[in-house]
Amino acid sequence: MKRYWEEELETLPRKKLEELQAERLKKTIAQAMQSEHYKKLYAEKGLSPDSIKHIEDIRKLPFTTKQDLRDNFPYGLLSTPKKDCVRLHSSSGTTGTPTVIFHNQHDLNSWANLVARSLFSTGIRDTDVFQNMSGYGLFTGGLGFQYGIERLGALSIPAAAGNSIRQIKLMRDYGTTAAHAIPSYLGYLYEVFESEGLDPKKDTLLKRMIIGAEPHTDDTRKRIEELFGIKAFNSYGLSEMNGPGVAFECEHQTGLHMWEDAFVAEIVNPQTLEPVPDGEIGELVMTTLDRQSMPIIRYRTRDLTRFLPVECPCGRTHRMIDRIAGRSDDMFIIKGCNVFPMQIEGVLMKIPEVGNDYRITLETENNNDTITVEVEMRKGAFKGDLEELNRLARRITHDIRDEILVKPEVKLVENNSLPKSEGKAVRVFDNRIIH
Amino acid sequence: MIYQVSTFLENKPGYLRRITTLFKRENINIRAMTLSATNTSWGILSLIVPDPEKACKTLNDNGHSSVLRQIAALEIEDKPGGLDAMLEKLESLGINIENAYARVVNDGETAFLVVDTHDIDNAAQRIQEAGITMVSKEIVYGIK
Ligand SMILES: [Zn+2]
Repeated sequence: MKRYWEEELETLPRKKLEELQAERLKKTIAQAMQSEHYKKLYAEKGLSPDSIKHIEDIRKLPFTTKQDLRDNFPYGLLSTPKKDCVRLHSSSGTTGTPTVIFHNQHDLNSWANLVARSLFSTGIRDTDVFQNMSGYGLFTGGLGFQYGIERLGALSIPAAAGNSIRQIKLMRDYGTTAAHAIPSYLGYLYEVFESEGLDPKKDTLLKRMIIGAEPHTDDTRKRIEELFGIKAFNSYGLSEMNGPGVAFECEHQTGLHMWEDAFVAEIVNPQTLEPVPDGEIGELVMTTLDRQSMPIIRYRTRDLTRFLPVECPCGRTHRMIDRIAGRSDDMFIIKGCNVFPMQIEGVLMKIPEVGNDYRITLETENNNDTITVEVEMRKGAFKGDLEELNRLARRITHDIRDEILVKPEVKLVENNSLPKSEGKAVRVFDNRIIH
Repeated sequence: MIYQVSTFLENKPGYLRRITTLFKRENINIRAMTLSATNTSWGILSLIVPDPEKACKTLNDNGHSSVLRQIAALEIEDKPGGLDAMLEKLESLGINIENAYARVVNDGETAFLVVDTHDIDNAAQRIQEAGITMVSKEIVYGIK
């Protein structure tokens, strides 16, 4: 039985994989130098495909930022004639300049193949019925999955986002076995199942779901798995790197395999921009290796993750990254330690007495940085026992200290007393005096 | 069984007042209260009121996490040494008090000591066996 979508590429020995990356990077540089932006930039710095002997030479190349994409809007990074392009995806751009990515037919084929490979690695096959509950249109989660599902050969239901009653009806009418949605939507969808008097575990044939597009904790994944009686697989992608199909969990759920034949992934310290050791959190930097119309080299994703220094039992040699731990813009430094709010959230969500919301405040006291974490208690967690509250606060303090290496002051606050965290709530208030 | 209402209270200016204002609005009379706070940012407010169930629900409905906790109310003499004698007895019974507070009853002769302890049932039994007079619910709640 077939175990891999593309066995040779997916299990390529590391050395060979890195050679392939170096060779593709040279090609990518040559291609990128067809664009106004990279032509000028690399000429100024004296860079060319010959600058690359080994894949690690990628560090000689300058970073590309979102601002570079905006400054070159719309065609400054286009590396093939516009006539050659067949599709664009763009950020909504309701504020400021949108970021736009162009694809030619080769790029779309390569992208669809990566999505098919990703889905196959989770155990989805051409016998599955796949319902894509993602927004279509300019957002890459719609068409990105659509072409991948078709390439895999599964029956696709392009349900698009929203209209939960119809989603449920589609699932039941056509026997949906696999689906893709953002994790926060699935909690809501389950409530709709309940209000319809249905139980997705009994009343659907769902077996697998792909969740991604927004950072979430492992506890959220487990909750989704329990509610729907399925296996949920984490998917990572960003429109600058096509969209979905960049890194994906395989059936072992040990981390997200980064498809290194199609991308170079680096993880750097967001301050120094130097690579961090494997296992340490930093900002993900990505380079396309198989894109013609708009190659992007060393793109600062602002997403925080780490390489997982373990091998996956599936036999794929492509390195794994951890689930996204937040945005590098959210990072703060206290007492010399880099701290990400998601680290603190991860600690809090493991403690049953803790509610949904928290707030981090940084202050200066006697020339010292202090960190205060206000923690909402879960409804019903208060039993009227002072010693129990003190124990809880001590436990939270200890667990956060263990995670971020700085001792916080923990304040327990009333359930529902902190501002709600819908959308992008500001969790960190930095009131420190800048020296 | 006699209950006090225990409320989680953030140690911020005006928080205690929120509760007294709420009780004023809901016409709830506070018979006795005690505030136990640690050096940290929160504490527990314990209240004796005529209708603990109603007060507890009112507090929870208004966003103040509250629970009913069973207590024992022990009669003490309203004179010097009255409280000391009672605490001595409790100590000899090996009852470890979590929280205690006293209130004088209107007759001017008796007072009662509210005792909140772990394993209240067991403690109450030992208190009764030791011949200590337990004050009735009606007297504690002030509804006689
Ligand atoms: Zn694997």
